[in-house]
Amino acid sequence: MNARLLRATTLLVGTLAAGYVGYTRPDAASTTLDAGMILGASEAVATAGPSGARVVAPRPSAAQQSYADINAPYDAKYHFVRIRYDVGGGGFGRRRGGREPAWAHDYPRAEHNFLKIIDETTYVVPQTEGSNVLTLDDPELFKYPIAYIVEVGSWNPTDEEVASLGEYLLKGGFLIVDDTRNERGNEWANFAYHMERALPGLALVPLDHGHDIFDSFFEVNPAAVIPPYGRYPAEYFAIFEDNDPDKRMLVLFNFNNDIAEYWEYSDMGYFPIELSNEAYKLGVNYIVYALTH
Amino acid sequence: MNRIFEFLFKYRPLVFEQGDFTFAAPNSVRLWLVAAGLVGAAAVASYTIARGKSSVAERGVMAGLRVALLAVLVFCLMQPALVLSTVVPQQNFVGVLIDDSRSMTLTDEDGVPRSDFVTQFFTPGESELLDELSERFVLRFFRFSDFANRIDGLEGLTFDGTHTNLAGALTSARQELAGVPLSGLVLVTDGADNDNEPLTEALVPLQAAGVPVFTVGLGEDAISPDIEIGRVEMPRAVLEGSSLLVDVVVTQTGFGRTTVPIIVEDETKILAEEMVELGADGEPVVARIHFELDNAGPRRVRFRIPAQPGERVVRNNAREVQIEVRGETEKILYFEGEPRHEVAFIRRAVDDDDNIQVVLLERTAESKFYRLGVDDGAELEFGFPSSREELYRYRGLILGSVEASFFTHDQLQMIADFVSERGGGLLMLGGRSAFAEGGWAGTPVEEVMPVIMQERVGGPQGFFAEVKVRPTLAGLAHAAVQLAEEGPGVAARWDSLPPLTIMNPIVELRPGATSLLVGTSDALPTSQVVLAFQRYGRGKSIALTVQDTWLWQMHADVALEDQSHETFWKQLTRWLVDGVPQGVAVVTDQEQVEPGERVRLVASVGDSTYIEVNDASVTARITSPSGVVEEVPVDWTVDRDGEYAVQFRPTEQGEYEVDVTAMRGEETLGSATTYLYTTESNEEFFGAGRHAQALRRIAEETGGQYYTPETIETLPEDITVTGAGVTLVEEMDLWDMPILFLLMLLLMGGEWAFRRVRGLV
Repeated sequence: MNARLLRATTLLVGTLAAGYVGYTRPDAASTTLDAGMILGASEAVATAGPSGARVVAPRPSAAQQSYADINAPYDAKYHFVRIRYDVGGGGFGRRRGGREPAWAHDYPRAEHNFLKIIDETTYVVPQTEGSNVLTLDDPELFKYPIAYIVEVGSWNPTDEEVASLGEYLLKGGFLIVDDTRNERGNEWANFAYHMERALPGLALVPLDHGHDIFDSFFEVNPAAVIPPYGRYPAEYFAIFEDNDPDKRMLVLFNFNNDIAEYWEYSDMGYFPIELSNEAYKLGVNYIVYALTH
Repeated sequence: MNRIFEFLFKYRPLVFEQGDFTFAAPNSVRLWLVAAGLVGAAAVASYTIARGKSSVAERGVMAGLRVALLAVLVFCLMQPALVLSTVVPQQNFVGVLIDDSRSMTLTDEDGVPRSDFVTQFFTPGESELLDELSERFVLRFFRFSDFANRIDGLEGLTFDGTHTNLAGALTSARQELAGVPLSGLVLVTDGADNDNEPLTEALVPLQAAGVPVFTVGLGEDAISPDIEIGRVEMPRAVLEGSSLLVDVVVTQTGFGRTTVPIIVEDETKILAEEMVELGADGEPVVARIHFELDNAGPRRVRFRIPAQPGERVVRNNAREVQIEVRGETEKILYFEGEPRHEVAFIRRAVDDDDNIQVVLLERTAESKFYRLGVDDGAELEFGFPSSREELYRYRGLILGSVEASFFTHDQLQMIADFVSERGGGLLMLGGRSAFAEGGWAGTPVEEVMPVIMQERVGGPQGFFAEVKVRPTLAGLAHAAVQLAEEGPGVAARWDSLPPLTIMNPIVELRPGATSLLVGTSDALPTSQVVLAFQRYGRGKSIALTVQDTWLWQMHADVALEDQSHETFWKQLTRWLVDGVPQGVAVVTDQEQVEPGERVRLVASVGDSTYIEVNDASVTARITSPSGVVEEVPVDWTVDRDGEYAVQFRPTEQGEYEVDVTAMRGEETLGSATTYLYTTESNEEFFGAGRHAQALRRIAEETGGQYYTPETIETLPEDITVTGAGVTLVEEMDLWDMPILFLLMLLLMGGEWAFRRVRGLV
């Protein structure tokens, strides 16, 4: 299976070079989203005009984009759902010198590549055309029991979002948290604080490295996974139903790690393929585990 | 009416029915009579040609009256007679069968118990009927409840029999009197048979032997006012914690349109109480009562209606039903072809059910499987079972979205046999690789399924529809799909659930299948089958065509505390394994008996592949309520493969435990346990009105007569003219029937009156 993953990862290097094209609703041909749009509002995006000729149109900023138009409708497949949020102070948060919002880190290349890997290596049937971007208080979120959120160090959800997240997780939802570390401040504490708001009484606990989630599809040694950057080793935390590690896992927290960074650049040659592989393995394991537990 | 007939015609209609008509006058006399007829005709002619003041019409009328008078006279002179066989006095036997069951103690409207009739009509020296019978026949008396016993006199009657078995009684008496000339059997009973033995089997030999049965129906046709719990439909075994929907049939007379409570209780507590509105007077109603049973072990559930004011019989207001609440954990194999949300949510829904173990085998990639819920590392080690022994360990099988081509032909046949031979429950879930879309059409499994798989929908997207799921009428009455208590809340509860999606368009059921849930959508021309089932062989198959029931748990419109999804899957999985047989099983032919009554134990024995075994050594270990243990061998019945039976008589009151073990050589094939409760029976007080229809049928089919106490006085003569045995031919004169003399007087008087009126005198 590792060889298959290696082949799939290698394949991506070539196939993804053409760039990412988001899901196109059959009834909304003009809502094509280009991967480049999250790079900034000033850039332009090439879309297909009615005549089929490529035209250049003004590109909306990530904050201005109406994701309801570009999200793939429910079709009972596995959809990669990225949580969009506001860091407070008006508008959606930005990082990297204001070039992209915090929630959109690695979007959309990371999930695009990851969905290809899922499709190639497992029998999970994913919607590979693109990921869905939803806010926590969007009722649509409840149609997708697995969600992904990043950069929760600066996350500052509203009461409505927190309440909705708590209900989502208690009903059966599963949240994968990525790209958070303490080097930039006490991000762990910020996340733990808001999770306490969402799930009162349920605590983040260190995840045993022998937990089933690390062996649900690939056999992964979590201690051997090297973060793409940063001084600290990767750590894994989780929130369990009734604080009982034998019960259902509600939240998986990749701390001091950023597996989506590997996914995003796995076709660019920035990282050794072996490291990208481990990141993909973790991601695949998380999805297969969540689909069976 | 019979008395008037007998006055006019000398004999009762029965004699005319039985006899052959003839003229007894010798031939010479007949010639003279013909001559007299000719003279008569000449006389008539003289009327018509005579001239006078009368008209031709008047002469015609007078001539007709005179000819009619002459014809009656000639008829009498011809000596008409009936020829029939009558039994020879004291040369024949008559068996008198008297119902000795408890229902004979019931008091009818006149305040007299039915048993008084027996005393009144069959006490020697005090009854004309008995005297007359004794003069003509040699009488043999029998008492009967479940079968007939000879008695010498009425002192042998106790009226304490716990059952009434008319067929058994007739058969016993026929066999007892087989060696003597038998003129008939007299059956004195209320006819309230409660043994369900087919009457036909008892009547055919009587018909063949020409033995008529004369039935005497006692009691009222309907006891009024009275309420009765007629029947309770409840399984004999359920899993602990199961939710039951039990049909209770309530019959009544005299309490029409009233409302009464039905209380359901076990030894320790009230399980449910439901108010039931009774139908029109005399019409039964079916009350559906929902309750749960916990605590494993044998249980007695009592359904009771409190006595109503003025009610005549109160002992038929309650019924007790024995049920075994099983504490075992039932294993279900869930094979899923693709990781999808449905898997996680199904597992979670039944996770806290201690009696259901869902073993998941999920294909996560090509030749890669994920196992959850297995007992040990060896279970399903090599993927889906490849032998019957391995598959038949499970009692239920769920097939998720997996294409048929994944399986070998042997495995497909094995899945079909899992239902038909092993008696397991098979549930196929909807999905992109299920039903026709998964290539299941044309496989052995398709034949098992309750739905007709339509042509596969092609194209990259295939069929995809969002449907609103609602129960059918059958679904409303089925315990597996009850999400709420009955009533107006049921429809609202289903309406509140979000729509689900279907990728397998299925609209047709197989003959014999039942649809419990359907899905509708404005975008679809017909409703889709969502949940359907059928019995197939020894097991059952269920089709659930939707692919995302988890939306009933996750959807934003569903409240966090809503238990619809959990309830649905708990009930569905329990139903899937409900009634699935064990390799070795044992039942008793009756759930409840009185001490001393016979009970038949029937064990079915199969090997690990559920093939019936006839050469097993089967032993029943019977433990009485006081702890006395008796071991009895159970023998193969020969009639049926794998069936072993033995009879025993429990003597103590209370609960008997019966453990059956089957061995073949040194190998233990299996063991099973059942329970039997012995207590006083009230069975005789149910349906205790006079069953005249059954008694008429017995009489008519054997050539006898049906009587009530009011009409019984003709019984001796009726047996004489209709009975079998030693008979002689008797000629019974008809010329002196009063009707003939009356007729002649009428004709003569008529002519005279006619003449007076017309002035012809």
